[in-house]
Amino acid sequence: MATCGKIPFVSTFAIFAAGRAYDQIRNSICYPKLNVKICATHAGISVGEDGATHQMLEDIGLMRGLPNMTVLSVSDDTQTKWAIQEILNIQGPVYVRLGRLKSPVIYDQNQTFEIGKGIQIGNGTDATIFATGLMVSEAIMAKEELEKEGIYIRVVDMHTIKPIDRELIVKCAKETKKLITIEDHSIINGLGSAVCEVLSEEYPCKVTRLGMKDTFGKSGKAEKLLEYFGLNKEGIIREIKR
Amino acid sequence: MKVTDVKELEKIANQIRIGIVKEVYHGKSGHPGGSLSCADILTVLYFNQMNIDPNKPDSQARDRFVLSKGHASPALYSTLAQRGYFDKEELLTFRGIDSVLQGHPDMKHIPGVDMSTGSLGQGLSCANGMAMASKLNKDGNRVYCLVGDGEIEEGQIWEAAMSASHYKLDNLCVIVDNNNLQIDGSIEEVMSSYPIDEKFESFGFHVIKVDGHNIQEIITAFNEAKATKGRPTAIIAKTVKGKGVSFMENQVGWHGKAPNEEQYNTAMHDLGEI
Repeated sequence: MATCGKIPFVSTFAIFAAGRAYDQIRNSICYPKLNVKICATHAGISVGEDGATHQMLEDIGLMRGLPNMTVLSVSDDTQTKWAIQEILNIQGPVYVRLGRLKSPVIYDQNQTFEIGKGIQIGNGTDATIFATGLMVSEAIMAKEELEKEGIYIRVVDMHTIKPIDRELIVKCAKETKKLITIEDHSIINGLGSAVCEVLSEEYPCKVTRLGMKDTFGKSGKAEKLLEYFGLNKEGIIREIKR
Repeated sequence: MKVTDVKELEKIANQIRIGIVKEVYHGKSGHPGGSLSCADILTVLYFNQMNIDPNKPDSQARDRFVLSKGHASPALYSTLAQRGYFDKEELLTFRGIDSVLQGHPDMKHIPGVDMSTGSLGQGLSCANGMAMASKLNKDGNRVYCLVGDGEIEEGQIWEAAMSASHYKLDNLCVIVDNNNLQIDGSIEEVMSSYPIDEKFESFGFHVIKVDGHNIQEIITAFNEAKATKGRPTAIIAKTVKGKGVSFMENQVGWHGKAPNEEQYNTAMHDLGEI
């Protein structure tokens, strides 16, 4: 359809959209730079009970490695609505990563977003949490809780994984004492890796990556799994205080 | 242990169904419809047909079973528990964070599971590999693979069917759980896989059609498959999704949903448990 001028929006579980269809996306969409929008749902361990076979933890890595691909990983309802409209303006393939779990609304309807520009929330200098997707609201909750104890951090919502916001990453690295990334995704090849790639080239410093540490997920209630793997507010606070 | 009495096998199938409903109810998650539809087939395989020993779940020459429609894990787990691979109490932990009983079959941790499955369309390829290895080893064992009628919309199934026939895997038997429903509706509405029998025939399979809830017919079909040489067999089993639980039968809404307490009690009543 894309070769005939239509703009296909395709959607299925991320495990199938990015995993099963990887070779087709690479060779029949990205190589010819076709205008196809892949909106993948059910990403991450927050899928819950279905377990490891259905929990996609490698899609950010698979998709951001492809030339011509734009990769978004949205954090709330407002941002999702924006993203689905906005990607019409990109001429070429786009991958949008979506979750299954109900998540809090972070942004009001007037919030503006820009592809490739992260959103800095707060000006704290004790630490920066680079977060994406479902982890953004957890990071914001951690920030609010830490403020009560006199620890001031900032959260950066990295809704665009590719092209990554190099400028903002370097700025935060210069301005804050500690750098942490968090994602409902493998720490290999995901947001954490993308941030480290930028910093190793432009401002070498220590970064702690929170996420799935080279392991598959398992069955369980989504909230319990996030707690088990340290991918929640408490996990972030533990890491900040460590 | 080989159960030959049809009445006895029917009783076992009912126990397996009770286990399925308990799993999904206690796990508050899972796929009851497509589990209940294949309970009779699994009963015949594990209690009448397959050469297996629950005390030696890893023996080289055992017959193998691949649940390609992995979301029917409650049926497989309930069958394995009935057959003595693990304690039936385990079933109540289904899909919990501390349970070995993962949402989809996990061969690393669950005794009796011959292949990890869950991503639909891949199981027949795995079964092919097992059947080819068996021929190379001259083990003489058989390999069974249960696929869904929605699942066979996956292209990989037909690549595997082509291979099975090409390599003359007569030790392989595919069973299609033809309950006519998939997650989004009826097979005809979503993506028709019909005519299933003619498709497998044209791919070089010996095809047998059975009533998937008639124990005697299922036994006869498996015996015929065993006697068929030079090509693989596909058994097309006409089944009812949700079979045995009145309000789940033929209802697409029970593809992947857990019953509440009242529904659970009705189901147990239907199955004669209370």
